[in-house]
Amino acid sequence: VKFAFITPRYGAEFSHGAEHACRLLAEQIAKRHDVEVLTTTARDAAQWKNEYSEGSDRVRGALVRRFAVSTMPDRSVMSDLARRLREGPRCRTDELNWVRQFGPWSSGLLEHLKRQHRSYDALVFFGLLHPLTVNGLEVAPERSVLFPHVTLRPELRFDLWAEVLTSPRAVGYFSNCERRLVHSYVGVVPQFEETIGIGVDPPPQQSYPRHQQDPADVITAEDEAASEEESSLDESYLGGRGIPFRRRHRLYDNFALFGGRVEPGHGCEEMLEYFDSFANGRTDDMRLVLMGVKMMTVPDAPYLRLAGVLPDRERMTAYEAATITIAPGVDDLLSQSLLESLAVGTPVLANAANEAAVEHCRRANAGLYYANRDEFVGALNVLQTPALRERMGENGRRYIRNHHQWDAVLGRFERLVGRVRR
Amino acid sequence: MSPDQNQQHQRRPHYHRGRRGPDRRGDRRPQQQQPQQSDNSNRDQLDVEQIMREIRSRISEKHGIDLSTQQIQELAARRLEAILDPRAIKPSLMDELRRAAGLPVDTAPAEPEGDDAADESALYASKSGFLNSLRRIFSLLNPKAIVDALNAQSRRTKAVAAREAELRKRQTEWNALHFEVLRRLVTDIARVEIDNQHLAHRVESLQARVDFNERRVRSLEHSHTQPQPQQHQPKPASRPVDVPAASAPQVSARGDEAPSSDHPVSSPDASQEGTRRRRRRRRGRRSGGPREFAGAPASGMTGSGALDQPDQSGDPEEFTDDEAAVDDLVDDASITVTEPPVTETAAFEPPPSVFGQPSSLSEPPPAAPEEHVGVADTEADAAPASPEVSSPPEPIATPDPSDPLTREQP
Repeated sequence: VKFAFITPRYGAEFSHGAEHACRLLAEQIAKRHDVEVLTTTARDAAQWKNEYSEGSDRVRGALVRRFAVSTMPDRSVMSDLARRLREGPRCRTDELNWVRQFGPWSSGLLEHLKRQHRSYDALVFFGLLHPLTVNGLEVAPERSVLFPHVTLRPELRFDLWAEVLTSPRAVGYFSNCERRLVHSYVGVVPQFEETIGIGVDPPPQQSYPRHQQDPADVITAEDEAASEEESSLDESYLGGRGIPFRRRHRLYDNFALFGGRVEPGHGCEEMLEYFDSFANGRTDDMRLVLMGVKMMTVPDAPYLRLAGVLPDRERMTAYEAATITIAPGVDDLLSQSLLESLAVGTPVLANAANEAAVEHCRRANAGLYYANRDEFVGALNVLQTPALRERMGENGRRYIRNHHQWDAVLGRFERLVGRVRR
Repeated sequence: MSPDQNQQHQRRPHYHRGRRGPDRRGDRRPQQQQPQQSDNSNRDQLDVEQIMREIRSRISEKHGIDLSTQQIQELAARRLEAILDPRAIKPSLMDELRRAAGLPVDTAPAEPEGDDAADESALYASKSGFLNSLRRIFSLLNPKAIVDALNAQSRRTKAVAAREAELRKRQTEWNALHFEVLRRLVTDIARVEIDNQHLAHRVESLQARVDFNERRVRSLEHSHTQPQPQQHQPKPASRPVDVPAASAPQVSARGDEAPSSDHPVSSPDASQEGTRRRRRRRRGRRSGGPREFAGAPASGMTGSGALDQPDQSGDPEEFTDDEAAVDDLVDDASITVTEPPVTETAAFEPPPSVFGQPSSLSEPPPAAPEEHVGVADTEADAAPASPEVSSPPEPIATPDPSDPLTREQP
């Protein structure tokens, strides 16, 4: 099967939004099918300047075709238009103008789509508000799948979206809250729809080499004694959760971990403020470890640690080492850090403003959520109970095993795309 | 014989004597299976929503129940809210309304059964001709009046039926209009409800951010008004107060900006102290011993930079070398050295330019560091997409491929 993934931007540096989801899915689906990513040369979503070079390149199994952005948006025109559309009566022409101003507008990509769409079995669009989606869906709606990645924003009241969401053959979601938003806010029930989500690859439980089962293998008393000795040593220290991370960062007490960009506007300030209230009322050494690029000023507090930027493997070890993972993001539909934390059995404290994260916590029974300072402090106090954390961790692991391993996710995706190909 | 087997001793060869996993321990460890069996029961017992309800009830007990007028009205309108809550709307409700609105209009009037025009013969009609003539002979009443009345009644019935059909037609149109109005109303209420929840979360978020910024401002003010212990130490008498700027290295503590010439006293000290501290800091980490500098930010550090250094508390077990390198990188990128070194030094040793003027902590030199820091922080906060660097973008400034949430391209 040959897929065309159409997304405004594509690259490893985009860690949020529809672009990130597109890359995750494309890399996994490219292992089974033929995937072409049709995207622009833009990197900055505000200016849409052409920063990448045009042409084709193969990235992790997916063929990436980049087309230049032909029209740079005028932000002042767009803001005026948006204000007018929000306040006054709307017409379709104005809404289409707003979409075009929102960008990116790539006539080369749309032309390629019009000429070559028959060579693809399915066209998969990512992101609702972009002109590539609005105009690209008109090319072959009967073979199109849309992943709208809808979050609440004022422009969602436009009447245009109902038409856009009903035109493709099938609609996929990354979270059930996104689906509810489409139903209740946009007022649309697509023909075929399914919540796909993203997958997580849990790390292996044991890092030591595992041998194949040998039928002639007989365990002697000597082996048993050695095994007991080794296992006792392993369970006492080396087998502990996230020991490499704890040793490296000299974190021997309980600590809460935040993984992601430390930047304002994504719940980090609230998290730091609430954690300060929590830490002020305690005598033990519960710490808050920030893992990721720091893009804001953080206070000088004794409980605060900066773990810096870690590669994937160490990141999972860090989640495993953490007592609790905090997910303060508001508009994070994918909730990747939350899922990764659940995959290694660490309970989560999520922001209640993020319905996707709350839904994961509820479905998995593996995390709590906070809407204000008191709830944050109360939930952290409750999560100090080791037995509760252990049960939540087990629930989280089971939830990821059952719903968010890549095999399950790809199965749901293929089922959705199967509607298109029939 | 298989080379993997030693039949003489019935043992595994040496390269199979590694550590066994749980799948190779056979039935000698039945406790490995027990947690699997009890998982379901544990999961059934654990209810996140119940825990959250308990947390919220504890919070309400702690704060007391203080319902505002609005909350009382909300409670009074609970039933209505249950109907209009977008998440509680039955999916069948809208379908029923839509079905009702889409029913074909039954506008045809009910046809009266049989011939509605009654005449005189109908009054005496009978299957038997004898009986019919007998009725006519013995008739005492004039049947015409009765026939007229019946005809009039029939006409009225037809008119009423026609009017009723017209009314039903209008009512159907009204129903369709009501359905459309109700549909839009429900959609808008759902949107408003969602917007309302979103705004409520946003208010909480903004409140927390205001508190966070207030705390940061207090911290900055505190760090700039409090005299630092290391500056109270008496300096050697042989050390000149006004060290020429040319004799000192013209780099600041971070080495990315030359100090201002308005502060010839503090700048060389600051740069030397910063360089020395940096050296000490790394040496201390490698040796694992405690650091030599005090927890308070030293001169030469801006407020922003001071806040970015949670590792300056003198705790010897805070960072390792690798992590310190990352931290240094981040700190270097995040510090905005837009000001001369801290002016408390000037309060104790007034520079020649301000010498003779009243110099105190409450009256700093014109280049007030608080203002610089405040502006720098505000700019950093106002532009979240860019890291807090005032210098050209460093590896931290641009989106880093080694970001934990991103993966490298091959």
